[in-house]
Amino acid sequence: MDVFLEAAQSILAPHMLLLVFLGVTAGLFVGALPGLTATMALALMLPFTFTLDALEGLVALGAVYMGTIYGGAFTAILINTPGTPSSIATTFDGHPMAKQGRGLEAISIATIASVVGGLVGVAFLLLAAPPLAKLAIRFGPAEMFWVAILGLTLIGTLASGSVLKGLLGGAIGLLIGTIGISPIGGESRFTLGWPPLQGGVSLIVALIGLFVIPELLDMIRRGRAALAPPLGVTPSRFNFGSAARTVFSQPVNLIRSCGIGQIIAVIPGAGGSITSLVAYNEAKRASKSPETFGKGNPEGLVASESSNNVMVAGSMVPLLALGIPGAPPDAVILGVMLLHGLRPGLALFTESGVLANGFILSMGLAALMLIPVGLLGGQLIYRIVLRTPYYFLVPTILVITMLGTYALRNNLLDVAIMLGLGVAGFMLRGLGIGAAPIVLGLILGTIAEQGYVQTILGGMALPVPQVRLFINPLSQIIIGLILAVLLWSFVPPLLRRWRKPRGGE
Amino acid sequence: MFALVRTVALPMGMAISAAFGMAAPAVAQDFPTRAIEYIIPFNPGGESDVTARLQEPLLKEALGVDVNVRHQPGGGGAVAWSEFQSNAEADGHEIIGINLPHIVGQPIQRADAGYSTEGFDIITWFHFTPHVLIVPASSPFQTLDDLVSFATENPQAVTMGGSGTFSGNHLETLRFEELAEVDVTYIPFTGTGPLPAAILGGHVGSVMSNSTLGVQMGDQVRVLAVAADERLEVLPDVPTFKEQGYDIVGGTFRGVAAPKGTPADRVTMLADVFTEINETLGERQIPMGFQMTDIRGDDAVALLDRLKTQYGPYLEGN
Amino acid sequence: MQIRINTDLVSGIFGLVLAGLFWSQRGSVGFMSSVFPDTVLAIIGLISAILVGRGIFSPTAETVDLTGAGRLLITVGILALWWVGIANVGFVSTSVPLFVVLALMLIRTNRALRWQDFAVAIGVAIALTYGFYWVFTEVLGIRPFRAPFI
Repeated sequence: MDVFLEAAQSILAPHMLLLVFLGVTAGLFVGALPGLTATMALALMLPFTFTLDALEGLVALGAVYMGTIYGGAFTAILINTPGTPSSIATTFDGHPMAKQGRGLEAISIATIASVVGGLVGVAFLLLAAPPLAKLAIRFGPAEMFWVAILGLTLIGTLASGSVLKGLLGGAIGLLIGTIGISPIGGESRFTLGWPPLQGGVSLIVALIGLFVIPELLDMIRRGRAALAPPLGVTPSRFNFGSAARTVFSQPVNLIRSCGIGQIIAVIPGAGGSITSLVAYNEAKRASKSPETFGKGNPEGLVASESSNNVMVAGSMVPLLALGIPGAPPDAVILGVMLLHGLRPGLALFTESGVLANGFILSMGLAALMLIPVGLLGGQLIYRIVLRTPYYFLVPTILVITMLGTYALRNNLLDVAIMLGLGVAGFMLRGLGIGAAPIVLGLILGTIAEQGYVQTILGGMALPVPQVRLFINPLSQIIIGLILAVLLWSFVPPLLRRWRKPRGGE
Repeated sequence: MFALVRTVALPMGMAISAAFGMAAPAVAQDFPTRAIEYIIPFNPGGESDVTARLQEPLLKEALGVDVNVRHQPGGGGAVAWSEFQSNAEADGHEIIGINLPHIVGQPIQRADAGYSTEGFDIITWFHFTPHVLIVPASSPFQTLDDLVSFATENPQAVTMGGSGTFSGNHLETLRFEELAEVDVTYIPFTGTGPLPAAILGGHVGSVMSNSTLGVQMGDQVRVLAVAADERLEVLPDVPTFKEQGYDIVGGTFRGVAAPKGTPADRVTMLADVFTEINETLGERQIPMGFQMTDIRGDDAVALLDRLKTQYGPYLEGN
Repeated sequence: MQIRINTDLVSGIFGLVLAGLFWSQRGSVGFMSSVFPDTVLAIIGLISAILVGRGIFSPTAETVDLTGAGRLLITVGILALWWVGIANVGFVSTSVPLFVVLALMLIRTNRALRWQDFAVAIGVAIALTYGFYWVFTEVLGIRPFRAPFI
């Protein structure tokens, strides 16, 4: 207990608070810029942390991480582009809200949901790290394969429109993901004999290409901005109180989304995108008015933004308890810890208790810091975007995305791919194939492939290697979930259609 | 302006220090005249990146110019290496991190790697992480012999995880299989990151990875053997493969290279700088499991040839 | 201008063409590397075939709004030019003129151009382009492209 108090004291020092504030602000802007990810932000911060001591360095990284995940919501809401993959689901309802003139309301709700999510993640980390960590390592290749399949079945429920086209989009995403060097086997696929294509299509490049560019092209086509509110509607004004009321009036949604966020957060390699998508999907299924999702229902926004912020602290459970990075940004944090001579694991809590607890508490602080930063920075960004005439907004976003895409891997080919995918994505949108299924396919494809082939290899000693996919109890639980989702999605409509003739005359 | 200062101050400095009998500052003529671009072909946060970031301030101090570290991940490094060999300027201001056995293995194995092993002017290989064979602490295998006897009786039953396919980890596993006459199943992972989870969760029976992982995981694992000539100081209780009867020495080498055709004196100068900073670097890195080295010039070429002979048969067999 | 397109049919055909293209590029890879792409290509083929079937037998033609198509084609051309320019001329030197062109084109959709528009557009283009470029290269340390000019 004294360790805890000491830790709390050390992070409440003025210079620490300043560090957290600056970190969150920097993270906000990085997250809002499409093309810059949380991992990149942390990697860029690495050199700065060398000049700081261990605790300060970790606190700074934690703050930037929290800010980045939150920042992705801004572009998601304002220009229908997830600033980071964790905010894909935020676009579904956040952007329609912005189009209806409720942009500030959406930002306020996203802010509060993010704060709640961030705090919940910290709570889990403090209180339940060891058991959660044990759960985390039970996820092996077979389980990851099934998790990916579960994610892919979500495409069916998320596709706004034809389920078939959604599945086609998802399959196209899977296909794009295979370009490059195969994860198992290390052989070049679909590279046309051209060396730069060995790197394949990076997720962020596809994200920007498929979300931003079609949006811009659409604005160009229509000749006006997307955010011009319909006539007769006055834009909402920022009201912290009403936003808070909206968020807290959905306790079940909040609890469920945060729970989902934490569980997926501990799965090594799952990532924030899956977290927010699953949470969004569950919120939609449990809602009394699922058909309003995708048209500006705050429930979806709350689900997405709270779950993805749980990830920040939540994904550190395996890192701090076992030394296993749960998500890519954690790898950077692990690197910093090792550099300072810290060995993550339960020993960390006993040997450097003040440091470990201080770091965790600082993330809670960062979560709370989202409120002032969101108030100031958020309003600023919103007003800038709203006030900028669309004929300057479009070229500016193009410039930013080109820089951001290049910044990812210092590779000009990525910029070409982004533009190409953008044009293609625009045409596909016209055909009814949305961007979200494609991006989902891209994310999940690699996970599914790796999981599948690794499991098969692991089962080589068995007569039929594929059996190994079904052996583990955890795999069976996930398979059960998949079946449940499928049944839930397809049976009720069938039942309704079946009952109708009888119900009539 | 800096160039002007340099062309005046340096020769004067050299003259003065020569007059005082001190070692001449580490410069070659009028180099470097601008910032050095240091390209890392891997993701931020990885070992190559962390090493480069540790080196950066030291290089800056020794060379007197900024050193810009930038990342170009993709294709296990191939994207950056191929672009470097095609486009980089050979004046010494552009250097790239290189890894073994990657740059030996990839051009043999892939038709479209886009670069050749000999297409670099290697500055120096500055550190080495020998391979280690790791099992979880709860494993029934107490020694390497336990594993070998079990594997002999149960072909394909022992799973050995590692980073990548036909990468260092994999090739070492293949050599081990040949020398120990066993048949294990190698399971590739995308990098060293997922390996701790795999081993702690029991998803693989063993792991062939780098010494840094063995050090990092501490008591949670048991290291059965290390592929070095002698035991490592940081892992004193771990016998080498050689001690146990298998002539297996290998691991990951990291170094830097310049484009082919870079003036030799600049290459040597950079090599000296890297060796110099290795001392400071070693303080941080040796406890983590690294071994600092300085392999350049003819030795570097010999190393490439040795690895080609060692691993070539496995790669070409595909 | 609105046209009616049988989106199911077109999507299905697109899927089949895409699958075919990729299939022709399969090369000779081992089992571990081919099991997944093969499965995916089969799935795409299947779904596309179903879509084509639906398109032919129960067509629900949707309308696609084609207003502004001319602008779009010009934009695509601009984007292509933009990329070529960045790679071979320089980021700022390409982006500023193209920024101005794009902005002016968009202004023109709603009203006639005045000379002030030119001035403001050029000013904004230079400020924003160079500004973001500076942030990325100096603050974030992303080193620029290998182009002759900035």
